[in-house]
Amino acid sequence: MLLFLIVGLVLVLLISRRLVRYATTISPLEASRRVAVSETGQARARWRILEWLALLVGAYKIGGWIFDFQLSSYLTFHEDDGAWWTGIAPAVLAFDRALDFVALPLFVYGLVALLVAQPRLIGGLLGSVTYFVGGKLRSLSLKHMSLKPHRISSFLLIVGLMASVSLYPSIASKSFEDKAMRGATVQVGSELHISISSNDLVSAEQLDQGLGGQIQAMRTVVKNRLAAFQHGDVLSVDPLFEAILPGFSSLGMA
Amino acid sequence: MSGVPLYLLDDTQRYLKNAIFEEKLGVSAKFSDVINVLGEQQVAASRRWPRFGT
Repeated sequence: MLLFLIVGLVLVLLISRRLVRYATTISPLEASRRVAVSETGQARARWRILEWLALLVGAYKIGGWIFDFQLSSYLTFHEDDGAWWTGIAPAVLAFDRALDFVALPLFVYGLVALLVAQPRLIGGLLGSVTYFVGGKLRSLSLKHMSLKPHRISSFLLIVGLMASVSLYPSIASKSFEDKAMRGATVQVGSELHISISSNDLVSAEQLDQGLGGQIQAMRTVVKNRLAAFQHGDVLSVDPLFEAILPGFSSLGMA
Repeated sequence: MSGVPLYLLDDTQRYLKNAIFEEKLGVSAKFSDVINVLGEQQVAASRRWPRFGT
């Protein structure tokens, strides 16, 4: 708990250091005014290279989710490739996968930063909203908000990021659930899988030989048992021999 | 090298027809292509296989 508090405090100070410096240096006369002109310049949202990158990376990953593609899938590496390539390619793959966890906040941050950096666009959006909910006070509320547009921009940015973070659990839980189900299905290889130990099929003497002998002994027993097995709900049964090296084997029925 | 599972297939075509799999399991190629090229006494192994013993 103390660690969270310290990390939170450090982050807040780090992020707001420019505004804190401004607040401690503004003259009392200007601070007492309803609208401090210098505040707009200090707190203005800017559209820079980092915001561009956030929007591009976020849009790439979200597009990848929708159209089922990722650039890293075009990277191929083999054992005989150079050491530098076999080192870099897995790192790029891991980085691409890691982006899945931050893509949505990056996209929302980039998009909202783009919006709030365009005062005219924000004015149009707010005008549309207040048209429905402002009533007779619409023009007054718009005028009030236009006095301190940077505060409206900051509010929209925070709300956008909070919405993206709160959306993640609902999106990710379904995704993880699907992956777990797919993984389990592929691992089992069928709708129903029954594992039978080799000791339950053949004698210890028959298992005391090479792998080929063990398989041959089990194959004969399995063939006879499957021939005798008849059930209306079972469409087909396929045996699959699993040997755990160096020489123990078991039987899987799918 | 111990504890490594080895699966023995009698009929690769029958296995591909009945088993549930995803093509990406093949990693370097389609899983069905990896299984299809298997012949008698041949083994398909993970590319990590050589590192198991180390």
